[in-house]
Amino acid sequence: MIEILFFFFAALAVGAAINVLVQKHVLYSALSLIVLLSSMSGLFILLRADFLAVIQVIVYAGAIMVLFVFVIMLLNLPEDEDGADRLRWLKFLGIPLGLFFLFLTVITLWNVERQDIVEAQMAGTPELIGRSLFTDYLLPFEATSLLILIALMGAVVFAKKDL
Amino acid sequence: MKAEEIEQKREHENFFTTSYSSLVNWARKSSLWPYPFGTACCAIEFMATVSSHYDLARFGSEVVRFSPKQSDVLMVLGTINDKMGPVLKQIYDQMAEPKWVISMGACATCGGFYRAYHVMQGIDEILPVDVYIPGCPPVPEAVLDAIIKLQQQVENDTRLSYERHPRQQRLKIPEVDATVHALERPPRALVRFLEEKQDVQGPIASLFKERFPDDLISMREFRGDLSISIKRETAKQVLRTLKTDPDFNFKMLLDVTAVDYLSERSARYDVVYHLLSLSNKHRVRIKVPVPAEDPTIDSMFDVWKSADWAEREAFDMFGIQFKGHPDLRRILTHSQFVGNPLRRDFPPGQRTLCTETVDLPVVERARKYAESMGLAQPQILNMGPQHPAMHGTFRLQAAVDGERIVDADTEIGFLHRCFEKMSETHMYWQVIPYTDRLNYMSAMMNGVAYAMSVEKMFGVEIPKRAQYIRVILSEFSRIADHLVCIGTNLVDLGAISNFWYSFRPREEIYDLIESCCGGRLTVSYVRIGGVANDVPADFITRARALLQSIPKYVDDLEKLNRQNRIFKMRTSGITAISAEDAIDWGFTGPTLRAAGVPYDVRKWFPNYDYDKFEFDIPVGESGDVFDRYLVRMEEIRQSLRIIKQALENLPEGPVQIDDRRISLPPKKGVYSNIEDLMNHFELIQDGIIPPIGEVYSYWEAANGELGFYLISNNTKRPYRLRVRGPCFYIFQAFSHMVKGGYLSDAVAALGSLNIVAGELEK
Amino acid sequence: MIEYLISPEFLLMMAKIVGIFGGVMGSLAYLTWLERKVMARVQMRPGPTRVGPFGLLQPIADGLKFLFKEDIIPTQANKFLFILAPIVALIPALLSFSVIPFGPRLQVADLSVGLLFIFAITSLGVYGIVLGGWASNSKYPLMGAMRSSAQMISYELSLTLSVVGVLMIANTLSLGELVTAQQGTWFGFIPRWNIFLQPVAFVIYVVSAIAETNRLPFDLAESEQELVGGWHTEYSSMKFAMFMLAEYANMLTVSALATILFLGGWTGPAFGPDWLRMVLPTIWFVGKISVFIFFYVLLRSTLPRFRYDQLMKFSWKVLLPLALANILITSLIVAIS
Repeated sequence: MIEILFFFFAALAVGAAINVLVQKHVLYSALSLIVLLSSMSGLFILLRADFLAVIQVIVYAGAIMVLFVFVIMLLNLPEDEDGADRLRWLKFLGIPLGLFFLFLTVITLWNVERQDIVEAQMAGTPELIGRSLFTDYLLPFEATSLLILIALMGAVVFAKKDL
Repeated sequence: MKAEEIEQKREHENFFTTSYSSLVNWARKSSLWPYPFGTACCAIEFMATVSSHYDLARFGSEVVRFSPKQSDVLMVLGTINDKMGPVLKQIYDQMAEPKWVISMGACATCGGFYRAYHVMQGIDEILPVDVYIPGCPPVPEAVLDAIIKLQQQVENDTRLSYERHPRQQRLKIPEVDATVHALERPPRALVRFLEEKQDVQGPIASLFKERFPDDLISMREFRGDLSISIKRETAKQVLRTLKTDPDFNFKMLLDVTAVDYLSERSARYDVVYHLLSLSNKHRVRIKVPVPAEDPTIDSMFDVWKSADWAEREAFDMFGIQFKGHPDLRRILTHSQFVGNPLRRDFPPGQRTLCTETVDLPVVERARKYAESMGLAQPQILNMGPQHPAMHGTFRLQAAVDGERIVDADTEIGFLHRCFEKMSETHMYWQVIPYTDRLNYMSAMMNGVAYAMSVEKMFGVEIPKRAQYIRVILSEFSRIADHLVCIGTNLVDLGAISNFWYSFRPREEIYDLIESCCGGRLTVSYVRIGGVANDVPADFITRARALLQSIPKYVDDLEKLNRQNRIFKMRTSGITAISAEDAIDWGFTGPTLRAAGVPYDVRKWFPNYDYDKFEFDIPVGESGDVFDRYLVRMEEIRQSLRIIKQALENLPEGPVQIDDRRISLPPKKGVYSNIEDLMNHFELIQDGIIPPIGEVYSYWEAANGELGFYLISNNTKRPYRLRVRGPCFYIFQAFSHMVKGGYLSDAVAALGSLNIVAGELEK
Repeated sequence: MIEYLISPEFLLMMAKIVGIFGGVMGSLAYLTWLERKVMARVQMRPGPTRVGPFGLLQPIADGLKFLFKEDIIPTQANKFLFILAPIVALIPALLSFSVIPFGPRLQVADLSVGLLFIFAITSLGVYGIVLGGWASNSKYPLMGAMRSSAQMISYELSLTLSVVGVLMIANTLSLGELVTAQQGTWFGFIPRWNIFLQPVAFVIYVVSAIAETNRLPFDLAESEQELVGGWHTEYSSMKFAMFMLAEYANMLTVSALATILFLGGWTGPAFGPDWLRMVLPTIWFVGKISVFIFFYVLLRSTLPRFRYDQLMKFSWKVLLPLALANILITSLIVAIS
């Protein structure tokens, strides 16, 4: 049962991810991204990381992507603008970058030991995540909040010219 | 499929399909959601049908949807004119099958008594109709009856699927209706009368003679109205001086119109301005002759803003060109209309086909602006004429930036049903029903104002009892009008229950009016020279009971809204207008008083014993939506005060003037002596024939100063009857008031102005 | 696999799903009846009376009519998204009922993060509105969609933050545990409901919940008098009905959540014979939800609606700071005790 669901969500995720890239209409890309995020959260549930799964949907699919879609609709972009000339070289940069990430993933998975996986099954609960966020990873956590705060203030300054 | 095949198929229908189809039909008939295509008086009666006395909800039909896709019955409520035709057709085409059409009232059914140049003679010219409701307007019971009839029709329907009705490719070309040609004698005597030299005394007259000796053509006084003819070349200068000079101080331009004298005069047209000085309480009529070969005159728009639409109307109706007018387009007739209908030689029934609704100038302006800013496309939002907030007949086209209105234009004329032309082709007493349909919210008052103008032409005064009856019923009508205004305004803001709370007392007022004359909405109770008949014996008790019950309803409304934070947030400061601007735009009535100007005809130019009644004129401060609400609420209370005093002092006596030129002789005389018999015959056959003259008479209607400018040629029909509807002047400011505000503010503002299409578009 | 499919727990689960789904769908239909009746009474009129006794068959007639109505897809519309939108609106709205405890054992799944699950699922509901408005390719629906998305994102914040205080007290995210934590009384007569501990949070929650479900005085997305029908102006037939169902389902969800979070869910006095003890919790639960629904309808029939900017200001300048302050104070108290 779990295997069927895993392959279902995995296929959905990969399909949606590919769709994000190949879709001509930017709105369809955004919608595919939502599907991708939702199927990712399905995978999280299979890993018993309920909290992560739900947060994934609330934050990404339910809030950030709504804003994306909102902006796309506001601008009402025409289909497939070929004005991506200045991004031409990024395409080629993408290949080594992709390879690099693949390498990183393989390395990480290689080093994972079996008992870590068992422990990870317990790590998905809100209590444990909260605990580790506020003890082991306090500094990165606070630094991230600060970063977001700065970004927020920047956005406000940009948006409101007559402060 | 041939008919026999269908018959065969029907025979094969088994039990299952028939019960299946009857189930579907049951569902369809039980859930007829109306699309209220309301335009005129009938829409008000439809609203009454929804109100608590009748409650359309009992049939499951109260879910009024303003999206044609979600509604089942297209209820055509009121007159559909040629301009509205394409709109109606489009709404019908957008509705999902199965769909039905109910045609409510005489106008929608056959054009009613508007056999005129701009009125569609029945909506079945363009739509298939399922149920016709007779009446003008039909009473709510008739609407319920129509719903039941339609339900029966749906129930007996054997079709399972519906095919689209064949779409008519184009509107039927209207035929020229020659039955209502005005066959009148030429206005020779009238022109002679008007050109007669007269030495007029009086402060304004002598001052005018002293200041403008060269510009003056002639001056006359008739029934207390001062009218001055001036030369066209210097008209603008003179009028500007009249406005700015503190000795004249005519700050308000009440009305601009034109009169056609055919070839009886060297200058065929007169452009007529009615001015009012609020500080000196003076009125004057300025006339400027304009020849037919060069029908141009300077626009007064930069002197008084209120000249804006009135000049457009004169352009539309008479073809007079106003030089320097910023936006001289047709206003009441549709864009494809040919001819100038109020010229005397225009056949009253000559219609022109209308196939499209055109964009307003704002689209072009916004496009230019967007181009200059380097933007791709301006955002244009079209509201109306069929938009719930636009009350069925107004159109607002706005250039929007998100939710804000950057620029806007309004279009009217979707209910133009040719009142002025119709009154030129009907006898004096026949005009009264037409006046009822001007401001159909308070029909009584229009009749009073019109009758007053004819009585002024005769120079007679009606009996005291008739005066008091007119006062009492008019004040009740004012209350009803204000209640509808407040109720619908609050509905536009989203507080829907107020509609029911305000319609309930209104319904009780209807009961009283109905007991007097048999009519609810359009009463036709007023007669020239009095009222149709005496009030019933229990009138005073019934009216007193109303005096008891109405304050309760009003207090309930106040409790619900006055302290409501959301209501205040939505209304205070919205479309506020300063006193100067309001005067400049020609505002009168509650909207002007909300801006802080205590101008009320009842106090300033009292007649009918209004100077003896004790009442106050409520005045607002900022002229915003909230102040308008407060002023109207207080006026309801003041009207109740007036009614109370009038009831106490209601004199005995006749209700018809004892003047054989005006009112019918007593029946006893008709049967016993030849003079009375002859008199009766003449009055019935020819009607009332007033003497030659011109008067402007005015009355404080619910929306402001309702004026009738009447010219009589000593014939049985008015030579010219111009109505100065207060809405017309208020609504022209609307597109300027809403600029810079939010879309929702425009919705809130429109309701508070109480624009009544019948009066606005005549 | 087969054994699992015939095992008692699976069958019980199926029975629960069918029962809850059927009950919810039925009550959604009758919510419209209730709303029409209550509003009619507020407005001094009888309301539907002709279709069945007390107009009770009215929702069935309406639903059937929608089924057999022509389904219009505007030529200018984006066909795929136009069809997708009502589905996207309805499915999340119904999914959230899978974790709501209607009684001690009447719950399809008691997730450990049930509350967050509901928030996650309902936050997806906005896509139905946004896509529907955009796919219609028409101005009023688009404006409705814009208003709605901005409004729902803003009020979601205060809605979510308002319950944090409750969570701190209850120390769980599971809806079942949230309810059981509120069992019992103080001093023998005050029920241990969170509303008494978190009154401010309750008010914030109710206000934001009304805004989340696009109901008056926050119904700007639909606002009949301004935007004709808002995002669903172009929808007819069953698709329109699905949008309506989704709206009512969301109303039901937030009311149920309010009951669970603040009013003790299905807790209440249990008495009488066994079968009554079995049924009573569900009755209490439904009764408490009805109070909210009634309140909803009363609001709709009395208040005018906000303007767009006022609505946003109210969310960001009033509700959000209040919710944050509430969290701060609650956490202080929790830390001290």
